Order: sequence, then structure tokens, then C-alpha cells
Amino acid sequence: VKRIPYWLSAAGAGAVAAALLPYHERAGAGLLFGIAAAFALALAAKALAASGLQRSEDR
Amino acid sequence: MTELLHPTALLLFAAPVAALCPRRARAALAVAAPLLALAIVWALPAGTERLGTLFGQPLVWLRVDALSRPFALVFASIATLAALYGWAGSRRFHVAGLVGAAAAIGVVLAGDWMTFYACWELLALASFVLILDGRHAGAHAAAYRYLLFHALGGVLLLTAIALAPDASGVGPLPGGAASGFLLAAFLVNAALPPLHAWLVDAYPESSPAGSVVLSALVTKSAVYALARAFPGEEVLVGFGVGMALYGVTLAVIENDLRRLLAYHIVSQVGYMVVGVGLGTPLALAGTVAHAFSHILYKGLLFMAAGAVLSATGRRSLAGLGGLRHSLPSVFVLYMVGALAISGAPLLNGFVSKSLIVAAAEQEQRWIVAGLLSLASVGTFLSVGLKLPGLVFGGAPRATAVRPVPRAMLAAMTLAALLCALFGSAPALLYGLIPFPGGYEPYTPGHVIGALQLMAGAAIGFALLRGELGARRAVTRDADVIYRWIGRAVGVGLAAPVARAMAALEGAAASLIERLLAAPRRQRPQPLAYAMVAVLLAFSALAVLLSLR
Repeated sequence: VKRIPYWLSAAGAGAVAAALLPYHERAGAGLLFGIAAAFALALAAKALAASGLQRSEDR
Repeated sequence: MTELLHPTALLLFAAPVAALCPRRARAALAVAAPLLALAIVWALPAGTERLGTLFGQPLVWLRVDALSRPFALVFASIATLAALYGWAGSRRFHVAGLVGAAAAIGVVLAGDWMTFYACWELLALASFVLILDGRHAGAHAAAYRYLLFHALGGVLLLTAIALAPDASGVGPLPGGAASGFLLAAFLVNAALPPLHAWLVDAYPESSPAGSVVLSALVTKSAVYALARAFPGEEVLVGFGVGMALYGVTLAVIENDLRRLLAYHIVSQVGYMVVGVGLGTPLALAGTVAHAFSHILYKGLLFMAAGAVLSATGRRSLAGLGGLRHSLPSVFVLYMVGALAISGAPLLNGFVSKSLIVAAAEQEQRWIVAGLLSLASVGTFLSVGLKLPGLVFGGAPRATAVRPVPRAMLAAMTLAALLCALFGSAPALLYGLIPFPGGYEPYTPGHVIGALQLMAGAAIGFALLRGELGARRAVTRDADVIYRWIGRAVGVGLAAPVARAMAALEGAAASLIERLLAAPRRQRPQPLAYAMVAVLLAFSALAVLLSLR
């Protein structure tokens, strides 16, 4: 799983979140939307960090 | 009595008096003056106007209506709480805090553009001094960068006023160019990416109490200005959604306690900007309610972050942990703010954020509503789970933890109580804003929807915990672009500028030599030259204003 790039994982999670979007106020679907959204945002942020947006304090 | 007093004038009078007082009297005055200003604003009914003239120019010093009143009330409230929190703060903090509150209240109560502009610039100067209150080299550098950005915003605002064919009352400006400059000026202060770097750069560098004042006043004054001049401006919907998502995404990877919270200002202001862009009565009510709520819970979050900083001397998430044992009260109060910003039921963020999302749904803007819900998940992920997990959870890391002063805890407790009060009794909040009615936040669908999003975020966080840990890393932001451009321009212009400076220096030296060689003649002083330059600048400005 770790070999999958962050941006690809983020895009996948984002697609799931987008598919669930119209139903996100329904019981159950909202929970899945929340999980997919958390994955999409966190992995997108990690992809940005890995792209050079973040650099070690030691550098 | 309130007929005679202007809250801005009262606070501006209190500031120099506070500067001359000994420490305890100064701190007491810094709390009492905004409290009195709050009472004055409370007593001023909507529809109150106070007129005057300056150099023949008609001015509206004060105009109270349904939009300006809630902003003035919450500015005075947070100024009181921040002064209590910073009871032991410096003279600089107390004076600049009073001037900042005066200016922000002046901005929202101004009825004409010149009064508005004067208060707008005064707010920038007071904020500059509040950033300097951080009292370290980083704070000084950030304060000057902040001033550069806000000088740009001020110039844009003045240009808009000068270009407008009719700039009598604060509201939408006629004229395409004037309107464009005005929007640009407000968006600089609202911290629209990539013009937001000043916020994330400067707020974390101020003193703990200074950052509380800053987090409340500057961007929310811009939100007020946008709501006043650009309601229903479609482009703001896209800008707002972009801000909401940009802020939370960067916050997820941020490793500095107060920078993380600063990114969430960008995100939360995004919600408010969406409300202005939608422009419906419900959306505008949501914008005002969210600005009101945000000032309280964001103030609380910055107070908690400041308490951690004061107690440990650390602000990097990688150097913090386990503080729930040594700072239990701060932990509980922080969580009230974190749950409020995440939109948890019974807290004020829930009743205000859901207004904006409901307004988007009412207009059938499903994608906008969905993206705002996505941003809400990100908010809980970083402020409600990651930050408290790293700072208060885990094993203790700070070697020595100093006790938090009682005044700080008292201010945080009051802010938390206000978050809970307005969250559990939304009618109180809706009673203060221009609320059109027809919306009920506490329906089973809304509550279950919000709880589901939070539970989903919590499960996502648990699964991704290894990826979201603290790193000893610095996040580069849009300021990289400015520094790159600055460096490129600097390298390109260095040689010609140096030659020009050398030529000017030579000319000045020969002039001085000639003047010294003629002792009987009047010697112009450098001050005289400076005064001539200032007079010329003002004359140019007057000509520009007279041309409109």
C-alpha cells in the first residue's frame, strides 16, 4: 500500500467522497463520507508536503 | 450618555491614559474601556447616525445598523476578554490592543469612506505594534512584512475611494475600476490565497495575548467590508470555497501550534466569504453569525495555544505532548474551542456554520455545500484530533511546565461559556444578527449529519495516525513566490540602484559642502526637506481626490 503515491490515494478517496456527497446527510453514508473526506484531505496534504512544500528544519 | 459617546473615541482616549498608568491600573483600564465600549454599542439602537464635517468634507462618524452592530459587539467583547487574558501583558500590548479595538469598531461603525479608511489604516498600525509585541527577531521581521502587505491593501482602498464617482456612504461603489480596487483591498485583508501569507507569517509571532486580538479583528473587519460592499458577488463563492479547503489542507501538515490555528482562520473566513458571495438573507446572516462565533472560539483556541506557549516555552508540535496531566484546565477549555470550530452540536460553530451550508443548499449549490462539509471534516481532523493528540495526548515531553496565570484561565473560561451559551441557545445569537428566520439548526438530520462527519473524521484519523504525526519540518507557502520574485528583482535592480544611490549621495554631499561654505545664508534642515516631501505627498493626494 505504501508504494501507492499520496496523490493517487488522495484522488481515490476524493472520488469516493464525491460519490457519497449527495447522500452525506443520510445515516451511514455520512460516516463513510467523513472517512473518505478525511483520507482525501490528509493524503492530499501529505502529497503537497512530499512535493517540496515542506522541508526539514535541519536543512 | 450614550448619545454623546462614540465607542471608538472612548477607546482612543483610554489608550494614551493606559500608556501613562502603572501596571495594575493599566491592565484594569485595558479591561474596563472595551467593556464600557460594549455597553455603549449595546445601548445604541439600529438606525443611529452621527454626522460631522472635517475640512468641509461631510462625514458620518457613526452608523449603527443590523450588519454593523453584531460586529461592533463582538469586537468589544473579544477586546475585553483579550485584555483580561493579557492582564500581565506589556504596556505595548495594552495600548495597541485598545487602539486596535477602537479602529476595528470604527471600521464597522463608519458611515462614510474617509472615516472607514482612517480606521482601516489605524487597525493596520495597531496590528503591526501587536505583532512587534512578540519581542523577538522573527516577530520584528514578520511585523514589517505585515506592514508591507497592509500598505498595499491601504493603497488599493484609497485608490478605489479616489476613483469612485460617488463615495459618500460605505457600501457598493459605482464604477468598475473603483469596485475592482475595493474588492482587491478587502481580499488582501481577508487573506485570500495567495495573498494570505502575511496572516500565517505574522499572527504566530505575536505575544500570546497579542495573537488573540489579531485573530479577532483584521480578517473579520474585511468580512464585514465584503458583506457591506459586495453581497451576492458570485466570484466570492469560488474564492471562499478555495480558502476553506486551502486552509484546512495546509493545517493538516502544519507542525507549529499557532501556525496551524492561523491556517484555520483562512479556512473559516472562507466560509464567511462564501456566505457573502451567495448573498441571500440566510447566507448573509450565516456570514455574520459565523464571524461572531469564530471570533469567540478562535480567540479561545489562540488563548489555549498561548497558555501552552507560556507554560512550556514551546510551539512546535514535535516538542510537545502529555500536557493533559500538567494543564488539565487548558486541555478542557481548548477542546471546547476545538469542538466549536469543528461544528459540534451545542457549541456556537454548529449553529453558525450550518447556516451557511443550509443557505448553499437552499440555493441548490450542492457542490459548494459538499465542499464546505469536506472542509469541516478537515477542521476536526487537524484542530479536534491531530493538535490535541500531539499537544495534550501521549507522553510528556516538556521538562518544566509553569502554571498558567489565573487571569488567562478566567478569560478562557468566559470565552468557552459564551461558545456554549450561543451554541445551546441559538435564538440568542440569531437575535443579534440580521436573521431572516425560517431556519432551525437543531433538527435530527442536522445533528446526525454533523456527528457522522465528526465520527468519520475520527475513524479516518485513527487509520491514518502514522501519517499525521508531528515532523520537525517547516511548511513553505505562497511567501516562497514573493521571496523568489523579490530576490530576482533585487538581483536585477541591485547594480542600477547602487549607481543611482551613489550619484544621489555625491550630489547631496556637494550640496551640503556648498551650504557649509556659505555660513551667512539660511541652511535648510533635513526636517524641512522631509516636511516639504510630506506636504507634496498630501497635495498630490488632495488633487487626486478633487479629480473624482
